[in-house]
Amino acid sequence: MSEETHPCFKRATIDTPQAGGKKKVWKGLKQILQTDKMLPWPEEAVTYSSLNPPPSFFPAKKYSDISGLIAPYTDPTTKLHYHNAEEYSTVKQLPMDLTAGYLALRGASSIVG
Amino acid sequence: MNFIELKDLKLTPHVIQKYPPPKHAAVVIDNGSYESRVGWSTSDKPLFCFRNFIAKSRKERERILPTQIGNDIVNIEGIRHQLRTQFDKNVVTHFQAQEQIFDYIFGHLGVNTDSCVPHPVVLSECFANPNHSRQLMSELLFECYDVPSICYAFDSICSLRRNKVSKDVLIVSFGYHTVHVIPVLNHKVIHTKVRRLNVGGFNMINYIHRLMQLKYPVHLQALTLGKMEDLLKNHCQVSEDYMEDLKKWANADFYDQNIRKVQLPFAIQQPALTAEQKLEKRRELSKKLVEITTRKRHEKLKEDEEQYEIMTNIWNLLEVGDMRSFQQALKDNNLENKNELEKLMISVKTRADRSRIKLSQPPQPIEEKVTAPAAPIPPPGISIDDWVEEVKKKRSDIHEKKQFRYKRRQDLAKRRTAAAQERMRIISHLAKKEKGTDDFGMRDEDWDVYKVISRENDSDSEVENEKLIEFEDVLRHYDPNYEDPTIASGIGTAEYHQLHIGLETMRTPELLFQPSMMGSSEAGIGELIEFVLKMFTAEEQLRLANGVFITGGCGQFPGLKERLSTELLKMRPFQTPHKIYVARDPSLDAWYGLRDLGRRSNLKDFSFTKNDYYEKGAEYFKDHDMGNLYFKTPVVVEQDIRFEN
Repeated sequence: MSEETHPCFKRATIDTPQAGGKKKVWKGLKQILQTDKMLPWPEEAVTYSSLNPPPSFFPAKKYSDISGLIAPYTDPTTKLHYHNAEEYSTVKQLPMDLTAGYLALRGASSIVG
Repeated sequence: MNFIELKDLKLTPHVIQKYPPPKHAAVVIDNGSYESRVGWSTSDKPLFCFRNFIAKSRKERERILPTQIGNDIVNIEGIRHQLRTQFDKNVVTHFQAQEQIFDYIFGHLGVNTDSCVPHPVVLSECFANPNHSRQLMSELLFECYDVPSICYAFDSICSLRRNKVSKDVLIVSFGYHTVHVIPVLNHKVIHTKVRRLNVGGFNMINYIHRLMQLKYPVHLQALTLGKMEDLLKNHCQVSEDYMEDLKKWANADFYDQNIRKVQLPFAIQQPALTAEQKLEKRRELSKKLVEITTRKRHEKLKEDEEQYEIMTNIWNLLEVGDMRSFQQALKDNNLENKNELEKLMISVKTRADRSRIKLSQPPQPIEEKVTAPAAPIPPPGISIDDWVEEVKKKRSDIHEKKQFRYKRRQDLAKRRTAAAQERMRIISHLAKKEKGTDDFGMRDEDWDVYKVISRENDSDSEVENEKLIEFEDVLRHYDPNYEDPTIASGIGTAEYHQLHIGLETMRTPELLFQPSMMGSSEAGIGELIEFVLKMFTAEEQLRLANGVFITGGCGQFPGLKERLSTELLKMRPFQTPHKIYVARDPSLDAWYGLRDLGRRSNLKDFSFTKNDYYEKGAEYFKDHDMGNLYFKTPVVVEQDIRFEN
């Protein structure tokens, strides 16, 4: 860091370049949790991962991807949920990127295909 | 009709505070993943709040611009992609960014002491903050800023202390990345039974942003994250009964009454002229031309008449016999002799006469050369209505075909689509044929495969385009409801540039209750509260249910309290009471609570010093009833064995 951005109240900076001029890489939350998980924590310890909620025990309700209304139907080709015939005609005309976008929003974009 | 206005996020730079503050003042920072709130323990209110953002140019050569931090960021919508935060979810992980944030904080507090920040620090941290993260935070504060002591505390507990709720509380803290459900019995946090839902304001903003983008792909540019945040903050509400509200929204009248509209800026476009208007315009033009020619003729006639009069006067001189004057007059008018004068007089006279005749006739309109094209004649043996219907159907068929081809073309252009992959599969299948067994081309159908994999045959055919024009011509003449497609599209009208926001305002906060809507398998808040309550005895459950406390910035949705009440009613035993409290200021109470902690005379009982840090290890911190418990990171088993040996 250059001199001008170094305020007077600072004694040091953690942004010192590492050996070999490499930039310091900060562990992401996932990595930190992964490391923590490997450790033999005592029974009573409260860790970030131990606070995770249980999975939902209710089946996910089906809502129309387009309008958000209750969706009794699913379009077999695009896999989009829809509310009624009118919505179905919209679904049919949606370009690929929009159908993919709707599926991704619902977390339903399949890895295959 | 409800028009609403969405505002972009605008940051105004903070002033640098006066320094030093009253003696022994501690720095109080509520370091949230959404916003950082900063002040002295002696302040009445937070001195400044800012989004925990830094903007840093990615490319080396763009580094000329200094890194912008917090509210010093100008044009935040323009550099969204450059924004970095020190947070990963609700945990600080990127300490270089945190360092820059601290520079900003201490700088704006006006700290000017040399090589140290000589104030105790009261800092919020998340529940079960990993030791790794806390250790780096302590390291940063002690090593780089040389602060005398640090006190870590929970934002939600601090917020609770600001509000008068009973001694048994179930805190539901709505944050930017998470929702925490925290049971408190006899003022003591039951750490092992705290649970966290990984959904927050961040997810909701992104959800509604994407929803609107998908709904209005043409207005992609206008849908900024800042506007969507404004939409979420000021126009969204939690539905009390989602299923019931969905039924209401399915009703067209309800939709019309409750829809909210956003008018985007647009340039007014002149609508294309209809055939009639064009004709009218042409008529006007020809009328004007006729007027001009008439006026010109009048002028010419007047000129001719004047000239004729002069010549008659000269001729009169001749008749009178005044030869001298006559010769002089001829000379003045550039005439040679008497014959020439006579000739000229005749020609002027005939010209004037002709003009007079023309002017006496009514102006002849310029003949309309462009006559309306003849109406197409319906084929014999069919009524016009049936014919129109038939043509309409044919037309929509062609449109559908065109649409399909357009879609296929688009799909083929991308790699990861079913159409493109099917094509690749066929191609690789064709190429795969082993030697000797290749009988490709034996059957005529073999060649059809080239039609399938060809990209070229997808262009719209000429014949179809001609047919389409023909059909449209027919409809224009016989179908009263026919709208010209160029007019019907409505581009350039105010309506075209309107966003309709309906169910989205309820659908988005519903994520908190049904995370499955965004593909998460986690239990929603209602279910999670029930799960946490079930870990207690029936008597404790009743005590907790009577002290449900809502706090956190995202806890401010209208209807949230009512919805939680409905959820509690559903899960609690029949006819048992429950009570819900809402924090006085869900966003800022955490800071006020932290400040109260900083004001305590026994703050040092909640803090640990630099000496502790050196003596007891970097991950050591003082635990107390308003913060995390200290669990030493276990050392790996191998080392233990060696130690015992």
